Amino acid sequence: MKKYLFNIPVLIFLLILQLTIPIFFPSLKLIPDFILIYVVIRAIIFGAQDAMVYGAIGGLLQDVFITSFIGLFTPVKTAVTFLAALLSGRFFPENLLIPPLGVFLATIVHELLYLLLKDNYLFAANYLTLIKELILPLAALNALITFFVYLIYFFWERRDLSGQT
Amino acid sequence: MLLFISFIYFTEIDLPLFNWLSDILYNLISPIINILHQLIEGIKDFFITLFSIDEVNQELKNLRQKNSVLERQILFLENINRENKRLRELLDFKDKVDYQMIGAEVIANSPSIWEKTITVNRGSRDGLEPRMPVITYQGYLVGRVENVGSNSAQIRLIIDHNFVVGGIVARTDSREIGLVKGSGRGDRPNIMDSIAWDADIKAGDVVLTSGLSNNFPPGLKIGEVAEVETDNYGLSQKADINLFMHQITLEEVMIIKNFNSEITAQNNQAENEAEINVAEESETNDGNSESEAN
Repeated sequence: MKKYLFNIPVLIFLLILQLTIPIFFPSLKLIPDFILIYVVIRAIIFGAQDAMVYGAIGGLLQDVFITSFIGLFTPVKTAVTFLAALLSGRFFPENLLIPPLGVFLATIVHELLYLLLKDNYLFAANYLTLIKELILPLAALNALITFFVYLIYFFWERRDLSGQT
Repeated sequence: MLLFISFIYFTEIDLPLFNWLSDILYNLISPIINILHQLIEGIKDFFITLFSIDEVNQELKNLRQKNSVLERQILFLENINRENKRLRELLDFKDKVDYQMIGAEVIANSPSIWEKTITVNRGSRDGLEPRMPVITYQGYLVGRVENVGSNSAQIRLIIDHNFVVGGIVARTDSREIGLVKGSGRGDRPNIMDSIAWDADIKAGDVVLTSGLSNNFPPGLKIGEVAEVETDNYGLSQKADINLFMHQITLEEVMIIKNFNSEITAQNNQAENEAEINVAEESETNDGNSESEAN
């Protein structure tokens, strides 16, 4: 229960950040998906069961600000966190490039799944252009942010292990 | 869990509990965004004022001068307005525009790159309802109200892939109509399609809302035709529309609460009938003059 009390406000904070950044920086063309970054990092570190719950909650929060309570983001984010959790326990924490790579791939899968399940995009979208101009740059941006976030997390954990407070 | 969520989404079951939870979440989060927005705007304004105090003083001087000029103009215009009203009453003219509008600040953007929505700081408490048209202060069409919370509302933008509005070319010798559809991207023009194959439409034409669907009042500015090409193997035409909305940064919008399409339609009909009567009268006069000449 305690971890939910911490993580749900974090997700709400990330959603607010995601919603308000373009208002203060209107010239930005891509806005990172902070919720996706957070749930994928959790999936890679803590495994599927934990991350899928937060994937679903993060998706629900995003859906509330688009259409309805359970929209497309809820199943898509839950599925992506499940896939990302396959990486869990399969790499050394010292390998700082695995989480960014995981987020990079997760972003591509997330956006493609969303497009394929969205009826007005399914047959109308030019997938190659969208991948080239939107999905890949967004995946790269998310991966870059993940690198720094994971770096901070990694050294924070190391500090705890070394007995410092 | 994944299967359950997918089942709920794809079967589109409308459970009151979910709607209730959705409203609670939305109404809990949007005030936080609103407060945060006001706070950051306040800080930003403070620093802008602090670092440009000389410019602010100069602007204040200029504005005071302008104000005195405008006050004189207002007095003059008030006289003209009174005269205009009196003449309208004499001629039994009805006001053409009957909009009830409310201003709103944009407080949040879309959480997805595929959905083009914004959130504004007005909601059901201010009388907002879904499907109300939204425009900029310059009168450019922005979108329509999608969901309404108690203190905030979501606006689906004209650039959204799901957005469709009837458009009409605003040229004296061409009133061609078509459907303006969102491209789904902010950096791409909208598409106006379903234009007749022989329609007189060219680059540079201004496109307005046609008002045929009754969802939007007629005459709102949408954009300018950038390029026209044939569509459906020559059976129709389509045009790229550069939106006027892109010329400004979307910080504040106006929501049209009641554009009273019936009154506008009645006015249009009355004007058309008047025009027909005038035309008939002139034809009769012409006929009489011709017969007199014979």
